[in-house]
Amino acid sequence: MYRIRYDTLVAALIGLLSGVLSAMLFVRPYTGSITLSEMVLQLSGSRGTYEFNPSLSEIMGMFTRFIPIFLFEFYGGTVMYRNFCTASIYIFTRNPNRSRWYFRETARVLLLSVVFAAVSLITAVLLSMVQYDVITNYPGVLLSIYHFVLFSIWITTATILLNLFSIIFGTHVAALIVIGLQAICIAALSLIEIEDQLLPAVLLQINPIANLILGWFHSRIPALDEAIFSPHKGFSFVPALFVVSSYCLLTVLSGRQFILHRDILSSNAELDGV
Amino acid sequence: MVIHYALAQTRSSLKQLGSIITFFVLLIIMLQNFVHNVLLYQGTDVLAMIHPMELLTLSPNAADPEWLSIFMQIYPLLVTLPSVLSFNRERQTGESILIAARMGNLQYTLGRLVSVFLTTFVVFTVPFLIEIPLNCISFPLEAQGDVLSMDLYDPGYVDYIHCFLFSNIYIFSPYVYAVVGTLFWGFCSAVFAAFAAAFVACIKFKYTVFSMLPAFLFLNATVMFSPTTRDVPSIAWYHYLFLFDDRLKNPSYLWAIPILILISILGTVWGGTHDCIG
Repeated sequence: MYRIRYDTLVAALIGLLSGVLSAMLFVRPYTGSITLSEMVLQLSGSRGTYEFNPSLSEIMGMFTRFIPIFLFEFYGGTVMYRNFCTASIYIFTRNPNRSRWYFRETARVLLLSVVFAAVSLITAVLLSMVQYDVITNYPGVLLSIYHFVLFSIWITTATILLNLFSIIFGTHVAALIVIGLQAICIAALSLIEIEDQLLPAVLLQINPIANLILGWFHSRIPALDEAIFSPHKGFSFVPALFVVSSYCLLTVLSGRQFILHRDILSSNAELDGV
Repeated sequence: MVIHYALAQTRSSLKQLGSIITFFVLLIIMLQNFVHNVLLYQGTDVLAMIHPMELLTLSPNAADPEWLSIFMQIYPLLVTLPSVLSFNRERQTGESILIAARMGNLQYTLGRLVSVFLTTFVVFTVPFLIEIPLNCISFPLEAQGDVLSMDLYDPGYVDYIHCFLFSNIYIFSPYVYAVVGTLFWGFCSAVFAAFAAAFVACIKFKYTVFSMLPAFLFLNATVMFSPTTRDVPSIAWYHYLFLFDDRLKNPSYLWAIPILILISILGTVWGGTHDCIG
């Protein structure tokens, strides 16, 4: 019989908390009813029927949408790292193929991220259905899938990055670096105001957080394009998936190189430095 | 004994990597704002110039919005970095047992709380206090303008001024207001760090990142649950801690600060009267 592991349960619990907070704070129907597409757009940054507009208050609003994700990253950031703190000699002397061990741990982080993103989205939708009249529509289902896929990949990337930085600096400095990088990406969303210029447009395209804002997307599917109704150009699902997946792949592969050449910790990184 | 230990520990904490990183991050943010203002306002006529104190980093009206938003996002993490982590480190290395055995666990944890408070206060106040004379030297002191370009006798301007925290001090002197506001900023930062330190005194965290959570969650909760409409008083931390903030406030919400101090002291006493070997 398959037993749910403790960390999967914790990921699901943080996802549940995230879903409750998202439904309470970010889903805002003008009237008593809301379409599923509008709801998912609001979860990914839109305010009401308007797409995300990077004023200071909306940037802070975007950051608060990421707080439950950061909570998960804090927890997931110890999944790989904890093996380096305690019993690392035990693990690596019994694992001749450290690469395989690393990919198994990466898969573990991916699973936890998927569980977190799925539970968070499902909870937010179900809770909104209890609170308001949620009208399920075809673009809404598609947007839910996009939201789930893109966020799962990005959360996995950030969590693996947090694990890798933790091995070098300890969890505290690693958290500051990873959250700091995401804060810079969120602040850089303001480049959308000068998206007509070449450099800002390129910087926006490679900004992972910009590729999570569904309200900026275009689609070849007419119903979906009409539901989003984005005034911006340059964002759609496939390129966004490519950008976010590239970051994930880059992190995983460079992490593998790092882990292979990392000597077993002689001391606990939690105690060094700070 | 407690005060002696707290002062010695503060001197030691200020030399640690966490304090140095935090200090330089704050210094870089302050210098970026200063250079941004110098480049933006060079050659501006004194009549059109904004008051030097309104150009401080802690004044959100004139700051570069991108940098300001990064600062506002990382502040809840940064506030615990200088000292709480060294507290956790002492507990993990067993250094705390050594000190507690000599001076008593309660005295040790209380001394540590005072040390956390003083370290954070110094680290978060000094970079912004440096900025005040820098602005006074670099920008004309005769400048009276503000970012809203309102007339000094405009009733709207009077309402705007009365939305500031300590508006009476601002009316007395903007320079005194800037110094008091910066000290208040450092004091509140120290209270948030002490709040996190109290949690570390009660709960032994295996990973130091979790000792950052109490302050991180508290500060971000104030932003998450803050009303979005402007006619309802805000509860977001930055509306109370930043200078020249014209958002509607309810000063009674500042009771949260003494409550946090009380929780910190009670938590520390609880942690200090329990077995420190666990």
